[in-house]
Amino acid sequence: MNLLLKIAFFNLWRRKSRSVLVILMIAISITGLLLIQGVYVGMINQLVDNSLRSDSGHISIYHQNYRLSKSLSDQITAPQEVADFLQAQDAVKSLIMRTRHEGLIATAKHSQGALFIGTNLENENRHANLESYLIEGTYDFGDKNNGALIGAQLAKKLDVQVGKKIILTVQNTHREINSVTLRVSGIVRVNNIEMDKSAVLIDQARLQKLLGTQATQTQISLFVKERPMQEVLHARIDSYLQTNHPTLKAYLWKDLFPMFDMIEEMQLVFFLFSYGLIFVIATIGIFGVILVSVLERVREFGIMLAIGSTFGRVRWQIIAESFFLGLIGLGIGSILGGGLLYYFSTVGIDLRAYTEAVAQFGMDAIILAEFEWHYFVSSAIAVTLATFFAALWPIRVLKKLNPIEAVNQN
Amino acid sequence: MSFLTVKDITKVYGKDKSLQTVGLDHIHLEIDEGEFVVLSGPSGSGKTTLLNMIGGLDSASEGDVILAGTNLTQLNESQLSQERLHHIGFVFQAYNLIPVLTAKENIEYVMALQGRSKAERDARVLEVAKILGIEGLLNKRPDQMSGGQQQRVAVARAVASKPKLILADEPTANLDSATATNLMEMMRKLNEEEGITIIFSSHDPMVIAKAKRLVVLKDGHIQSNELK
Repeated sequence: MNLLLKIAFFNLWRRKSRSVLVILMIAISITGLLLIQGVYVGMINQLVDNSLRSDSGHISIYHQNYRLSKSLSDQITAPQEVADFLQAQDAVKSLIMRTRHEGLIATAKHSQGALFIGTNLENENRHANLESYLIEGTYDFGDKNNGALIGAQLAKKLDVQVGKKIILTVQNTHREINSVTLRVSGIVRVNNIEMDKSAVLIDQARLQKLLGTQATQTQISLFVKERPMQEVLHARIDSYLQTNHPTLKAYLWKDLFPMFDMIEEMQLVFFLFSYGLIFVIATIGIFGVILVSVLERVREFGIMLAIGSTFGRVRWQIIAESFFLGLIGLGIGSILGGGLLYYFSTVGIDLRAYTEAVAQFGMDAIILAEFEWHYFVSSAIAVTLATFFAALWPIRVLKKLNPIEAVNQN
Repeated sequence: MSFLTVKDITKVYGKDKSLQTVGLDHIHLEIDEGEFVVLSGPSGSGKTTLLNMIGGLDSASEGDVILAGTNLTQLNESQLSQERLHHIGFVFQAYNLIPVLTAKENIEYVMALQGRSKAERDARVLEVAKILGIEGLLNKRPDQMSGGQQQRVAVARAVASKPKLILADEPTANLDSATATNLMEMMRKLNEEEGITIIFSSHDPMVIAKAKRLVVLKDGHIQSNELK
């Protein structure tokens, strides 16, 4: 076996430039693939993460009619009781209760429909590190809770800056129009397009007062400790709600953002396509080298057969040559791609020069690539399969040429 | 019964009867164990074809080749491969060493295929290398050796696995006369010391002179077969 591997390995270097070219081709393809996959997954994860942190969490609880009606009459009944149940669950990492209501935001010059979110900023920060999204101003509602944080695109559209006055107008629970004047204390860019376009975060008690209600909650958002726990927890919450609060419903984030589910499915298709591409590139490259190499050495294989090698052994030698070509390319590509991927997963790709543009797509200005081991495993499987398939035809050609007959050709 | 019996062997090339060429025509030959035989004759007389039949590298149109009681013409490719591996050594005109292996690795290649242990291989390589005077070449690759050196390594490869029979197809054709004489003396020595049956094909007078038995072929027939 050692001699077989040695012959296979050193045969590759009898035509150095040819082998090096194919190895580079495989290495560069794998480097590119790893990077593209890492950046693509990183972008999607950021997109999902931003929506989860600023809105749904892993699971959100609403009144079953609220998402359609957006009416305060469809609020969460006994929110504290539900919250107590949730907090008693081991799988729950954190939760937050919010009051959400649609209304009108106006400045001296502009007005715009908006989503008012009554919340507690300290809780938001513990729950989802909301402060990290602050791009201007301060992360608070001011000493008298008369401040508001507003989404970056909304601020731009209203042409409003930190410290400026805004007027929030809502229809309260008594169907009367009610308004309050606040000052912009901060501007946030959460890279959740809907939130950036319409969200106005204000003190929860102030919003409840504006709405003419007390302790009204329309959403409970929670994060699980480990993402795989979410389905089990969701089922448990659903069961609890059906028994104790049948008007409420728990939603997984995928139910709230079906587009993300589609994106994850597309990601799978993208992965399969990428590995397919690597397979084809490696197969074609290795096939060319091995076929020419075999045709050049028919007599040599004939000698091996003459002195006692079996054709099976010759077959394995050709497969080993093919395997070495793929393995070296895979190794170099994995090291290069892995290194670059690690760099971009820690430092990120800096697109701050295009912050506005990338925000339109819900992306962060610094994209952190996602480093996952399965990229390497899948690439290795694709290349290994390629090395095997690339050798099959040359072996068949050699068999047809009957190499033992070539022994006597001087 | 002889060690090797070539029984009424005929080799016809071509399928179309009008275009057929007869390479060997009803050859009958018996060789005993330990003989040192030279097949001689002009080009096209059938020397190489006969050697290939004996070595199981080519199939006969008619007749049998019986080596140590085994009828090679009745074996399939895999059985022939085993027969060559364990019982027959080959020396070719063009040396045909494996270019990426050192002389030592080339010599032990057949033994490795036979599954012999590393220690056994190492010992045998040294033993054969001493007989053939190639101890200093063991770590060299074929492209670092002269033709004569390569041919001695090729002989070592053929001998090392202790086959019953060595078939050498014009082994001196590419060598100068001094190297060729030296090689022949060493092969004769191996024949005498190791008792290996050796069959050469050659039309080199020096090789013919070393033969214990000379078989002369012409146009696919045996013209003469005499002990010397």
